[in-house]
Amino acid sequence: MSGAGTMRRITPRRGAWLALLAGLSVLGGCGGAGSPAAISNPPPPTGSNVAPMLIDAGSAALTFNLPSVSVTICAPGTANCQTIDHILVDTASSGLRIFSSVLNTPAALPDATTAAGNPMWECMIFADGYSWGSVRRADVQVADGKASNLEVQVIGDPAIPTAPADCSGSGGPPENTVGTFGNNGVLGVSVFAQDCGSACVTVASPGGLGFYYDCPASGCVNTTASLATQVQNPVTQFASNNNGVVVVLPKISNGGQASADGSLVLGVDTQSNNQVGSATILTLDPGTGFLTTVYNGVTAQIASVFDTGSNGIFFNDSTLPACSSPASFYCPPSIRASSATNQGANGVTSDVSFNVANANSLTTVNPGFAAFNDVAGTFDSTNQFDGFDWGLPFFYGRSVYIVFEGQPAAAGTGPLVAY
Amino acid sequence: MQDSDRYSVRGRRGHGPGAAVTLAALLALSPSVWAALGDGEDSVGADAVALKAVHRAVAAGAPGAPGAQGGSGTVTGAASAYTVHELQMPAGTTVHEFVSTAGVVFAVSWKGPFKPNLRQILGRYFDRYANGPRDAAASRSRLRIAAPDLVARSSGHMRAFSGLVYVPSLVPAGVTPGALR
Repeated sequence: MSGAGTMRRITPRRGAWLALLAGLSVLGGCGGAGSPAAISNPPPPTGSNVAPMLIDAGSAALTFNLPSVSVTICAPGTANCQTIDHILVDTASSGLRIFSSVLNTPAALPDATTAAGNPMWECMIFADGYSWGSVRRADVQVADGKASNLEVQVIGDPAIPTAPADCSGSGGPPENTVGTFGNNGVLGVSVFAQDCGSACVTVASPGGLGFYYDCPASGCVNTTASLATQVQNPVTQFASNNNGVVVVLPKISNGGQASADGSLVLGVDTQSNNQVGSATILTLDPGTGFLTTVYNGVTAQIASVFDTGSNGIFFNDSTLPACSSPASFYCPPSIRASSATNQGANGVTSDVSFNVANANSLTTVNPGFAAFNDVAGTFDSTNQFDGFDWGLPFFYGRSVYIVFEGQPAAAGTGPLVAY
Repeated sequence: MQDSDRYSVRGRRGHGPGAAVTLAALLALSPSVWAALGDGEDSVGADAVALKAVHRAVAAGAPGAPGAQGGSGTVTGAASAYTVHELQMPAGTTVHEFVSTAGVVFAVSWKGPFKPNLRQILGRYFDRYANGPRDAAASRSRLRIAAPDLVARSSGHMRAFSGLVYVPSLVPAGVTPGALR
């Protein structure tokens, strides 16, 4: 059950950065026939709107299948800038979050403020814990995309080191350092424009746990936050190519690779290098951002998402044996060919084939590898079919187009995903 | 708690069948607002107040009962072995508290876009949950605790958190706790 050496390499991670009820979006698209989704090998895109995306062991060498880009942040309106590498690209959360320890001078970034005029802080809740930090403002650049005075969460900000009780009420230890997290930060580019959305506009703490805080010198208390003052999906704030992103990853070898080089392309259907073209278009539920996935004839009950922040494909199948440790991954004796059917809110269906290999064998044979296309695990450690998480293995060999909520593209109005 | 009067809080067993109770009466009935797992059935009402949730009790095993897993005919437990209290939080999360015929909350579960305050619904078991030894698979997106006195699993995804925590020694005979939802 223990075996820390092994665990270091195969710790599962799913996109744990939550974003919440962002309302206001328009469902677009129309019905269509199902189509197979063959894996090709997209040519690497070129252009000023392309950020190189690296899959390696991450800044803390915690695990595999971590796609990251470099992000430049500056004190607003100044040339006081810093480029930070190993920022995890997460298509299942929204907002830029940087660990305080990697910032040259966190205090150079001014506080974002609440309606009361005090510093605004934020508690991000995970399945197993929480991250606590200030919300500050910075000029942010990814590829040629620039946003001025953007809200950025600075996790582990020493200005207020201890989280309020209703933040730590998530249970578990704080995950406030690069060492516990595995990257220098997160670039959340999900379909949602803000991390919390409409729920936080009217309710100070929608779950009774965390989110935004008003922090005068006397202490932090939950507060509501207008959409405009919440932490934004950074791409939505760029001057152009701001309606979505494309994640482009090469096909990799079965059995894995030491690393892989891909691209994060800004915009969808805005340039010659981000055209959806003939890709299958699946619109998403505008309230949840989910699609529907059917596996072995059973429809996922909780959630189905495309999530670069997850290092495996996570779903429940009691016929796939769990690894001895960690038990969240599958360790079949031989590679299991599997498939599932995705269905968009627009009725379009898409069959996806994937392999499930023995995660322990893969990582034991090549402990230094950082890219695997056939790693899968349980969604929630039960045999109940609760959800389907298309993590990074899905993305290899594809261009995956993500159009943000309410944003227009030739492919349709977001939220939608095409591949 | 100041907003609790925005929602009707209705207890069933602990407060008279079908009777609407006022906040003041509910607090009088509840020894502590920090109560839930391992506590008496009336603590569910306190959770409802703290979570600003609409509260209703549903008999387990009945069609559509939240503890019953549909689809494949799975039977999650003896229908008469427990009662399920459903707390519907204003932002969309549903909390279920499972109460044995002995009147003790033996399991709690949650599902929805916002994870509920576990310090509240786990009550005296929160510290065990927060600090207990985790399965090696624990990561930001999942947590598993499999101890003799506490079993927990929590998975989290953007806009979709779910989890279940139960106390094995309190689970009624004939109930399969791992299948509770």
